[in-house]
Amino acid sequence: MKTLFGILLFSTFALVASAQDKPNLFQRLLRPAPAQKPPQQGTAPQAQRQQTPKIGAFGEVPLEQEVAIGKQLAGDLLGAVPLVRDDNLQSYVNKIGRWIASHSERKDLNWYFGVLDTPDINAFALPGGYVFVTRGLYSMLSTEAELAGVLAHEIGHVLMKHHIKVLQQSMLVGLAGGLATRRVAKDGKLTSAVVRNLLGNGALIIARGLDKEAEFEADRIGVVLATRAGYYPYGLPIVLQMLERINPADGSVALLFKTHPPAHERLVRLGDAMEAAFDQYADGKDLSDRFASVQTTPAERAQPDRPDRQVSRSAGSGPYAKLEELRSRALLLGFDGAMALAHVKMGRNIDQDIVLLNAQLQRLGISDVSYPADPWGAKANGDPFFAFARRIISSLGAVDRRMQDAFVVGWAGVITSVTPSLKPAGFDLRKLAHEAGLPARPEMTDPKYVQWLANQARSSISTRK
Amino acid sequence: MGFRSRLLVCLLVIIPPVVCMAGEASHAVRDLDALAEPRHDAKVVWKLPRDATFELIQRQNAWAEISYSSQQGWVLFFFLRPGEAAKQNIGKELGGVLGLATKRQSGQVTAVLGVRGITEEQLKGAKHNAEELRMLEALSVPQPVASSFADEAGLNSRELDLLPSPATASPGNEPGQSGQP
Repeated sequence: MKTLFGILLFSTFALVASAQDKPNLFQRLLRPAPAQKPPQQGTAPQAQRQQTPKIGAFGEVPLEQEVAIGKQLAGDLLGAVPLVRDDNLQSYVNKIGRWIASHSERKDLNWYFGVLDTPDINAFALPGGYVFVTRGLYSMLSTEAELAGVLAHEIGHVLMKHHIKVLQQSMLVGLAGGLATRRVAKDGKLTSAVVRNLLGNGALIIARGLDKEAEFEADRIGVVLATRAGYYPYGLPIVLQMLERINPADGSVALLFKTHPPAHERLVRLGDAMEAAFDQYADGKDLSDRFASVQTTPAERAQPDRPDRQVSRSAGSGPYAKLEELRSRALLLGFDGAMALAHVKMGRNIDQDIVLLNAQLQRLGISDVSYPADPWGAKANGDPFFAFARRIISSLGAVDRRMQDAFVVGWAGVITSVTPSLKPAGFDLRKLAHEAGLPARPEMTDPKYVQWLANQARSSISTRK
Repeated sequence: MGFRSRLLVCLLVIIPPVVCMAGEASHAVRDLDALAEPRHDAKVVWKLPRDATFELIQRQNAWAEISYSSQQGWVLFFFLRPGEAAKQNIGKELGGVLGLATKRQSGQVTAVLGVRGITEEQLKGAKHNAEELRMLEALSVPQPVASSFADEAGLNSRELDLLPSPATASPGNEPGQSGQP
């Protein structure tokens, strides 16, 4: 015990001495770090004041030790906030994170990324390659480029060993380092128990935060790494704009705002560094579609090849759901319209069909389609029922052109089902659309699109049956 | 916290994703040049004074198109803030009630309410979770997997240098010029 106390005291003394005037004394007590190329840029003002141009002014922390510290802290943080139980989401974030990290100056680290299950809006980095983003922050985002910006900012902290610096400044690492190094020398390896004993509860380092300059620096690194990885460069600034619009009194940002400079200050600093120079990379990807696909329900994920996915998703989940509903209604409308037509051909009264069709149209918000009062009397002007159908089709086009297709397919689906010689696979949407008076569009000949519509029609028919 | 305040908080949380909403009243934190087009080499058409209120039209890359005194032009978006300068900080009004330090000049907004976010107590009381840590490490993805996932989306690597701190930047040091990461 005495020895332990002695080492603690000595390490503390050594650290203080080194910080002031004998930088090499403490360095000698710590094992020399394995050669690790520091990022090209990175003279934080604090380091400049101390006339020490490199991180690790008190000596580099060995990689093994850095990772052990990060691992310990990550376990502590996960003890406070668990991971979101969604492997698809976690894997997605890991792939993106790893891709960005591979564009950093520490691409050989083992990188770990996790989405934390909390509404808190925040992201964290821990030494050695541990990066977290909260569910609260994730759900604020709408593109992969924004997520990339957030992850890249955190990767920036790991890159610059910002937390190690904080630990060193608080002498924790001095203590940990001195002792741990001895233990390593003795046992040949560093156990997490050693780190744990020396750091205490490390999750508190997160509550403490980093200095402002470290955050500004991570912002600058963040935009560069995301851009290097091929993303639209303004993802991170856009997220900062979002943060700026959150009421600081909201508890979900309390920790973030406590541990970070205000978002507007970060934007200004980033603006000074970026100016308009990144516009040359504006063709980087934002991948909002891929981002949205991860948030979809399992049912939607089951149809990855659905060709209309891209268009509908860009409308967002609300409008998307609405469109789905409209389209299935349009299919039904086509189905009922075709049934009515069949009744016409069979010479039956179609008053009930018309009532049904008009009720469906009303649910679609279309009220100006009227069927000729006397369909039989208007035969001279062509088939009145087709005229009615064309008016429906034209009104559907005002809502969404794909609804017209759905109507035509629903219509054709019935004809197919009552005419066994016509196979659903033989749908020629362009031809059908032409007969219905619709202008041709490129996707009408896309077999995937036609097949999907045909499948929808078939399933709606079987449901109706 | 009363129902109304909670509702307000909810609304404010829902609103943020709408960034640079068209028609939003904003102000600039410094004097800015308004350009004819969203390009740094475009012609300066007028000057936007600091704190003047204008309307946002749209954002394009580093630029925001704004309308000010019936003139339109493009300014760098980093230096714009939502709302009018005088009514800047909603926290300012809340400050008296909630005890928030929200002095705009210092730029230090400290909110310590911890209504539903991660709290210091939560972190302090956290017990190391080795099982959760194992789960995290098992989720890690090897680099080649990440690369092929990037390829699928057509993400192309680019080479550019890290950005120097603006304070230490030498003039004309633009990203991407030297090419080597």
